[in-house]
Parts: sequence; C-alpha cells; structure tokens
Amino acid sequence: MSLTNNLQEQVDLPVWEWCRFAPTATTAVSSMTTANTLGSRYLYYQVSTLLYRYDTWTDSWHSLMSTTGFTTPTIMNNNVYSSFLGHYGRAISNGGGNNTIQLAGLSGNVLVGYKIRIIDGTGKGQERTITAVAAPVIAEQGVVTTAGTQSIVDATTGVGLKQWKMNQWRDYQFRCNYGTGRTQVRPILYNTINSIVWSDPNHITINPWAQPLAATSVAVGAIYVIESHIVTVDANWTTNPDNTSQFCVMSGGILNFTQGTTSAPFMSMSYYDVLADIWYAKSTQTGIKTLVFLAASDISMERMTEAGGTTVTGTATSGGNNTLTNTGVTMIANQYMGMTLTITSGTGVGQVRSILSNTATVFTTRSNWTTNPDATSTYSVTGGQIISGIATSGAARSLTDSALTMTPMQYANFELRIVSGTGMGQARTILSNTATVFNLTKDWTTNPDATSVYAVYRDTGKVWIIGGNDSGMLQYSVKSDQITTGKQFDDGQCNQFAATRSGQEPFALTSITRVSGGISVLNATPTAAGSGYNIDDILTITTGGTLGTARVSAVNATGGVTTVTLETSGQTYTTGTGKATTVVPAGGTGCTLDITTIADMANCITPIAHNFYIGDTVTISGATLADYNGAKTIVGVATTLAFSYEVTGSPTSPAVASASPSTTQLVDCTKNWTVNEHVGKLVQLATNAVLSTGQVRRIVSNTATTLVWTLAATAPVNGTSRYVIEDIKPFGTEMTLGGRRGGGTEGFATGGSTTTLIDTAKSWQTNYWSRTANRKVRIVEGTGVGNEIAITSNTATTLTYATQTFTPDATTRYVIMDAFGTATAGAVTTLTDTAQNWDVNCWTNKRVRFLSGTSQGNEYIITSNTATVLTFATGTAPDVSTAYAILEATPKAYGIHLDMITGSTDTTLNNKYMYAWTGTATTELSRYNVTNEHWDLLSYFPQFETLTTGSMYVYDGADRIYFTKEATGRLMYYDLVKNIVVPSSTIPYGMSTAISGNRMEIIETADGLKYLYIMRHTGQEMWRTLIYW
Amino acid sequence: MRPTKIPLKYSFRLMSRKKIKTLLVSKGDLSFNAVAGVINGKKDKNRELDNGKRTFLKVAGVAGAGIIASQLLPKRAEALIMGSTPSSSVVGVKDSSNIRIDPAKEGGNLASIKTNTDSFVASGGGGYVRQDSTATIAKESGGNLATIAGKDFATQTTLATLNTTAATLATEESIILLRRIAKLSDSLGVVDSNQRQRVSVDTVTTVTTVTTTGTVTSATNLVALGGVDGRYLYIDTAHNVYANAIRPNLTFS
Repeated sequence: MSLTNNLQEQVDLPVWEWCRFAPTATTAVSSMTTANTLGSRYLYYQVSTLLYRYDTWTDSWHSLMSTTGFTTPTIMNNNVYSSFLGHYGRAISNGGGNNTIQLAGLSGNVLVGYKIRIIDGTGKGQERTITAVAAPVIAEQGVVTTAGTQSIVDATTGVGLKQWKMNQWRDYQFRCNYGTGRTQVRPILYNTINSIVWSDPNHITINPWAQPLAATSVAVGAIYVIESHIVTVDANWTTNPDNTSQFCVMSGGILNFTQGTTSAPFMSMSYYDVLADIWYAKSTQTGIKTLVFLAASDISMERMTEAGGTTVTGTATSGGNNTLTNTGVTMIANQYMGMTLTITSGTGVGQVRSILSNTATVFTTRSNWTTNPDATSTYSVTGGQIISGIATSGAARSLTDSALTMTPMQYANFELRIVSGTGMGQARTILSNTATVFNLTKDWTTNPDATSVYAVYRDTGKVWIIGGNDSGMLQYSVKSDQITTGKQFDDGQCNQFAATRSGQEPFALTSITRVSGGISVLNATPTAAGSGYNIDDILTITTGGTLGTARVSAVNATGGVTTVTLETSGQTYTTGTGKATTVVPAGGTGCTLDITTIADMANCITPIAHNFYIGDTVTISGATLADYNGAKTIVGVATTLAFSYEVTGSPTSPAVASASPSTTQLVDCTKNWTVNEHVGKLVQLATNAVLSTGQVRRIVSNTATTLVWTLAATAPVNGTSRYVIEDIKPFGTEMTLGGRRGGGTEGFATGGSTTTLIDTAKSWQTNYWSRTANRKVRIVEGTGVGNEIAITSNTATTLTYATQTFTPDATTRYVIMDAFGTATAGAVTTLTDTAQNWDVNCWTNKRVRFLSGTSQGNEYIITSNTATVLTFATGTAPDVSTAYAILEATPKAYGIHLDMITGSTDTTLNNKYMYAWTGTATTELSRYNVTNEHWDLLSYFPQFETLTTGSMYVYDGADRIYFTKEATGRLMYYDLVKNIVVPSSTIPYGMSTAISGNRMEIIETADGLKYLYIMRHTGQEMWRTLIYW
Repeated sequence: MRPTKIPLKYSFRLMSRKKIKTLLVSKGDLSFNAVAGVINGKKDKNRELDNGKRTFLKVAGVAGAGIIASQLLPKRAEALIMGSTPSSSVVGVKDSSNIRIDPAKEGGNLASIKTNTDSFVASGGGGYVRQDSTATIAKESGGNLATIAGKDFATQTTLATLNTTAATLATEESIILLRRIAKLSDSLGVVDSNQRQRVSVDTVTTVTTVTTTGTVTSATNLVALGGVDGRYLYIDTAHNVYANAIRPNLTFS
C-alpha cells in the first residue's frame, strides 16, 4: 500500500492524541520498550513487578505475567525488547516429516506465523516459518502429590503409579489443566521416576532458559498432562531436526535489568518470553559491582538488531512459482538464505517471501508466489546481513575470504555466522578483522572451509548496560548468561569430567568408575514370562550380579512379561538365560530374563541432575585415560544423578581427572585452549545462583583445560561453578593524550622482530612510551598473544623491548597499556602502577575501576594523580591482584539513554556507534564506537539544554534521537547527521513530578508512518503524535 | 405631661394628698392605669367612682377615730396597755399574761449568749441558740461548722488535696465526656489574634445539581464531567483534531 502524506511543515501543527490511560501510574521503577525494528504492534510497560502491553492498533492495555518470584524492582528499572530473541526450547524429534518438528508447542496456534530457527544441534542454522501446530499429543497425565513452582511429584499409588524412565519427558511440556496452578505450561527439563522438573538453577550452567518459574505453585491435587505438538513449517528442512536440535521461535523477548536490593549484586536480570508469557530468571554476579548503585538513578540498556536494510536490488529476468531469476548477476550459493525477497515494482509488486536458497542467478523462496514475477519485476533483498560471502578457507578461530577488502577492525564485536556449507549454523563473535580475515573470540566447533558461506550480523545476543552513576559500561551475553565489564572470549562451567550431548552445554561428572559384568544387551524377550506383571514394572535381575534392572514394556493377558528393555546395566553379571528377577511394585512372579551380552561399564555420577536417557550419545572428556573419553552411548540410567556407558580397554578404575579445581585454578575439560593464550585476561567466577557470588581474577597462565591465577579465590566447584573469560581492558578504557596524538594505542603489527613491534599506521612521539617508566605493550591476539612487554624505547612507528621468543607479524594485534594494567601497590586512597608515566592530574575527576582481585568491582573518582599514582577518596585498598582501568565516560546517573544507530542516512554511523546521553544535569552527549571500544564526547549545536531526571529518549531508526526535557514536556530531537538539536513539539498536558525511567517509544506503521508515544511522569496518561516534520 | 385640674365632683370632699396627686395625672397617660382605672386605654367610669368613694370613707374614718381617741384615753391607761412606765415615760412591753417583758440587751441575755461556752448539742438544736439550752453557736474550728450532718466541708487543706488529684481528673470519664461536649460546641472557625473567626469551607466533592452558574472563573481540577473523566473532553477533542487536521492529509492507495 502506497502512502501519500500531504502534511506541510509550518502549515500543519503537530497534533497530540490522548491514548487510553495506563492501568498503573508511572513511577521511578517503570519503563517502556518495544521492538527494535519499530514495527511492533505493542508497547510493553513495566512498573515494579507489573507488566502491561499497550496495543497501538486498538488503543488499549492489558496485563501480562508479573515478575513475581524474582527480585522485586524497587530502586531502578529498565527493559529492552529484542525482536531477535524469543521462545527457546529443544526439539523432541523431527515429527515424522520433512517439514515438521515435534516440540513443546504451548497451546493452540500461538506459534503459527513465527520464524523458527535451529540454533544448535542437528540442523542448526536453518530457519523456517511455522505454518501449523497440530493438536497436542498427550503422552501422560496424573495428579500432583507434592506441589511446587519448579517441579512436582506424582507419588500416586495403585493404578496411577508412576514409574517413568529417567528423563523420558525431557523437552515435553508440563501443563496443569485442573486445580490450583491450572493453565500454566512449562517445558520440562528432566524427570525422575515420578517427578517433573521444569525449573532448576543448577541447569543455568547447561541451559540459560532453565528457570521459568510457575506464576502460581502447582498445588497438591492438581491434574496435569505431559504433551507435545507436531509443528509444520513452510518448507522442507535441509537437515531434519532431532532431539539435539535447539530452537528459537523468533517471537521476541524482553530483558529486564533492575535494582531491588541495596546489597551486592544489587541488580537482577530477567527475561520475559513474549510468546509464552513466562518470566525466566537470569543471573547477575557480585563481581561486576561492589559499590551500591546510586539510588533512584537511571539505567539504560541497548541491544542489536538484525535489520540491516536492503542488501541488494535488481531486476528479474524471469520467475517461477517459487523462484525469481536474474541472469545478470553471479551470486554466491545460499548467500542470501534466510533473507527476505520483496518484489518492489512490476509484476507481483508488494509480495514478500523468505529466501530458502539461492544459486548464482536464482532465488528460491520458501513459499510460492501468488503472482509469479517476470521480466518487469524489480526486487530487493533485505535482512540482517551486513555483508556476506563465501570463505576461501577457515581455521580453528578464523575465517578468510580473500575477496574482501575490509578496513581493519571494521567488524570487531559483530557476529560471524556460517549460513551454509561446512559448519553451517555456527555463530561467533568477531574479535577483529584484517582486510580479508575474521578473527574470533573462540574456536569453531567445526572449522569452516571453502564451502562455507558466511554472513556478518550485529551481535544480537549481547546487551549493553549503562547507568547507576557509573562510568563503566557492562555487557550481558544472552548465551553465557553473564555480565562483564569487557569483551567476552569464552565461557563455561567448572568440569573435571564432562559428558556433552550435541546441542547443549556439558554436564560435569563427579566420578567415573569402571565395573565389569555390566549388562550391555538384554534379550527383549524374557526366558519366562511369569504372571501378574504390569507394564512399567521394574525387574531387578538377581542372578549373578547386582543393580541390573529391566523395564516391563509389554505383558500378555495373564500379566506375563512378553517384552523388556534394559534399564540399568549393573555389574558382575554373566550372560545366559533364566536370570531370576524381583519386581517393583510387588505383584508379578516367575519372570526370568536372558542376558545376551555383558561388558565393562563406566558408571558416571553427576553433581547435578542430568537430562540424559538411554540411547543418548555423549562425549566424555576429562579422564587421563583415553579409554574413558570420547563419544559414548548411554546404556543405563539408574537415576538423574547416574548413568553408565560401555567402556573398552579395561582402564584403571576409577578414572582420574587430568586436573582439579582449586583456589587458584579452574578446570574445564571440555576446552582446548592454546597454552597461555588467556594470560593477562580476566576470569570471572560465579556460582550457579541467580544472584551469584562473583570473583574476578587475572589469569597468569593457562593450559588447554585450565586457567590459573594468583590470589586465592573460593575454589570453583565441579559442575556448578561458572566462569567467563573477559578482556582486561573494559569497554571505554581511556588512553593518554600521547596515545591519541600518536594515532592510538592499539592495532595490528605491520612487522617486527624479536625486539621490536612495528605499526606503520602510528606516529607516536619518540620515546613517549619509555620516558621515565617503561610502559607495557600487550599482545592481545595472533603471534605472541598473552605477552606483556616493557617498552624500552619507541620511534613514531616502532616499539622496542627486550628480546622475546616471538616475532610479531600481521596477525599480531597489540595494545599499549597506558590507562589500564595491574596495580603494583595500593592503599585505601591510592593505586600505584610503576609501569605508568601519566601527566600530573591528567586523570582528575575521571573514574578508575578495579576489575579483579582485591577491591574488585569498585569504581572511584580520581581526585589527583602523579606519574604513577592515582588518588581517590577512601575506599577498599587495591593490591597486586587488582587489575584496574581508567574510564573515558562521564558517569551517567539521571536522565540517561543509550541508542544504537542502525538506519542513518550517514551510513558510516550505522552499526558502529551507540549514542549516549549523560543526563545528570549536563548537556553531554557522547557516542561509543562498538568496533574500537572508545567513547567520543560530542559538541552539538545549540548545546544549552541540560537534561536530568525525567528526560526520556527514543531513536527513530533513522537520523534522529528524540528527547524530552524532564517535566517540561518539551520534545526536541538531535539530528545525527547535522549534529544539531531542533525543537519538536510539546506534549498537550503538563508532566507531573519528573521521575526516572524511560517511557517514550516510536512505532512505525507498515506504511512508514512514525508515531511517537510518551507516557506522563507520575501519571497514567499517554499521548502520541505523528512525526511528519 | 401637662397637669390637669381635679374633677369638680371632688370639690367638697375630704381628700388625702396622695389622692389629690393621683387625680392630677394626665388623662392621656395610660401608664397610670392601675390607679386611674384605665383598661386597654379606656377608662372604666364605674370603677373609678367606686374607688373614689372607698378612699374617701377610709380617710374620713381614720381621721375621726384619731381625734376621738386623743381626747378620751388617759395617760395611765396608755401606760397599762402598752407596758410603758408612766413615771419615767419609758415605753414597756408585756406578754400575753400581762407581764412586762424585759428586752434583751448587752449585759443581759445577749451577754449570756456571747459568753456561752456550752458544747454543741447536735440533736434538736443545730443551727440556732436557745438561751435555756446547752446548744452553742457553730464555729469553724472545733464547732459545728466542722461537721454538719456528718459531711466535711472543703477547707484550704482539702482543696489543695483536690488540686493534686488533677491527673485523676484527666482520665475521669465524666470529665472527658464534658470535654467532648465542650469540644463539640467549639466553633469550626479559626480565631485569630484579634478574636476574629476565620471560616474554612470544605471542598465540594459532589454537587448533585447545579441549576445555573453564572460564571466559573477557574475549575482547576475537573475530575469528571457527566460521570466521565474530565480529561476525556480534551481527549476526544484531540482525536477530533487529529481526524480533521492530520488524517485527511494521509491517503493510502
């Protein structure tokens, strides 16, 4: 539909319409958000624990699930909606068809119309649109005998007795359909013989979506069902999903960051699944923040978007039922897979289809055209890709496309996805890029090769956080569920031994013990059927061994057992028929079994409940003896804390771990790090609690599976402690004036020797880095990574130091440590770093943040400095374990905001800068460069209006950031391109008391009209105006 | 008031001065009606004549008797009848038995009363003194005033004690009730230093019907109008403005 807008500036004045009043008045603990594509129908408004949704179509509000069960927002609050998050889960099977998938499908057709993306496991990287959800298949039902918000028990006796297989209901959904707690639906994490668990904090380390609490406890007497759905998608899968396939229904979600307590970690993170109307608990760590946030100040979060605009346009030469051909182009096969193809003019104009695949000249769409395009049809391809191409080669931590001519670091902190070919479905954060090579923060699982088609996206899995009167900026990773002050390289949990199933994070093992005579194959047909048995009776084989059990899976008319399945393999058995049994529950008699094969079994004990069931394939790691390690099939599951697999070679028992955690060491046997590649980085240790105790330490060495630090920490716990490796240089670290004048303090080496590093792009002052004190240069990646070397002299382009064991090359990226490092001494008011030579008082009024060790998490105002000493108000004394950084940004407290620029007509701004308003009674506006991780303070014109509590902001997706000044109701906008501020109407009614929280959003209609919505401070009123000027 | 003449009918009558004075009252002065026989402003002529006659006879009778007595009664008799002492010309008083009574005087019976020290006899005599009894005059200390009918009189001492029981009085139910009553009778007005009352008028929350209001200078918070939130007046107006000013300029094809 084409829009004609005849509104004229100066002739037509803005008109503010009154929207229906919100159900609850705005407070300082409220905020509003909407989809980052602006194209949403809804505005989401949270006030304290209450969540509402405003429908822009019908001008009405309704309530959504409140945040009951998590930290109650009482001090500050912020929400951010991401269209590129959604409803997460794991498939049960492919559903029996080539375009189906069996999963927990909520109820009704709520999933229909959404895209489903396989994000891990079999078939990852595929994306389809859900076209139908079949009626639920009810697999089980029962009555709750033990109530819970996270789990229930059904210990019914008699006919209703439950004797489920361990984890047989994994990834099904529990739905309470009668009694207290009814109507609630939750995906199942695991099950025991008679209990169902849908929320377990221990599983945070395995699955970031492991804590969807029930809004109402499912009470005793409630009736439940266990069910699943067959979902149909719009085109056949290229690779059918299976029970390892992790999916995300791209329905959007809201991350909520709030302060509810005045003790560390102060803040809590939650996630609202818009589709399922479920809140998930996420985690925060004390290590990121020790001092209390400034009460009643603002926080602001920003996320990335996949909407990258138009990637390519052209004119069709012909079209078919589901194809569009342009013989005039030479595309890379599947380069545009998953993107959107739109007929923009000519025959078939206005039709929009998803691209299933593409060859050099032909697009194939996932569904047929209504009107086939022809040679009159012009088209555009839109989507989230920034660039795409085909790799010329790949390595463990890089991808090369020799056809590229990128600017170095152009795509740092973006995400690289393999969209087709070898390694399809993998995504990694780009650590850096040269002209032709993408370097990554961690290894590929499967290295790409010359068949791998890649695409660069914004990192939609990261969220940036500012505020609380801090200078530091935090980053939350949706995948790792961790918050850090610097770039995240890798994450995981403490694993001495581990069992890893495809599509999910590893489960740690407490021990692996080998036993002989375990039953590996049990004849399904008993030797004697006996009588009086029931299906699901558990038979314990008592002849010749112990702990071997079988499950009755079929009986005859007299209760004689006709079929059994192996349940646990036991030990010390011998093969043969007629093995006597006992039965639970009592009743049946006379059944004897036939043991076909026995073998050595590795009995594994897990520290937390696992979700494996018989037949799963897992990769065992951590044992010093190779016989224990490798891909194994689970043959017995005794409990959710034990399972067994067949082991060959009769290795010595018990298995010995290659390393153990201690107060100075973390072990993750699932990793394969390069020795000492992480030296100098930070490791943040956390427990598995939602509000976790966090400890940060600077890494002094690492092996393939261990990280070592110096200052003793609480020893990581196998299977429950989490960690994340992050950069020592936090986001927005300062640099000295000498560094700025010299072209910066970091870059790729262009050459060097064992005593020199050359960067011809620099123009440093001679010996600036060695005057008085020898500054350190740190090698952050490539050849020489992990080294920190004292600079003994420098020219404009060359750093000279003592002889090293490596020679810098084009892969060597370095940073001069002129505003961060490790303290060499400290007191309650000072930090000393003798490797510095700062100008006296050059850092006055800047903030110093302590990143690790003693006094970690503190951020102090520098009151003065000498060449080597920073002085600040009395705090907790740092020491030699304390990594520190001087921060660039002005602290942001009241009336602040952070906006990622995505659609400016100045394309150099897009995807690169986040604009941040300092507020706090200042006029300051600064912008953060995502790629080089530095802030620029801007001068704009006119710059006189100060902004503080009550000022609200919204980016229009193009060239403007609209903002209001506190309680005045005056609206202005900042023009990104012209760098000016322009008045922009005034709300039609006075604001009440100005309060914190951002409650101003823009919705863009399908026709491109943009309406700006503002909620009144301390009131229920909301207004909207059409932006046409 | 102008005096009038005495009516002619009294021309040859013996009249007292008082009567004459009465007759000199103005005829128009009805305030003297009781004597003048005026009822409701009109004179009762019959009653006026009767009163005049009776007065005349009384005056004449008394005057005649006096003249006769003064000529006939001897001095001796006078003394006997009146109890006087003829020799000394002292007038005496006799009782019903014709016995002369000696009047009380200081040094006589009064002296006895004055010097009487007999103790108080409660029965029969309380409150007055009989010369021939043992009763005595009540006195403050040690006398009858200290105890009357078994009840103690408040004294300075007991009043002081009463003062110390103020705390008890503060919680005394009757006192509290009295205070409440007194409070209820207080004015709602605020009295300023000049004892002027300031009147506070409560917010008018509900006005069932306002028939006619000439001018409302300012309605600062019009909560509802016709039962509808008052802001909807502006809300709907804004919608109309949008509909008329904005929407017509947007066309879709």
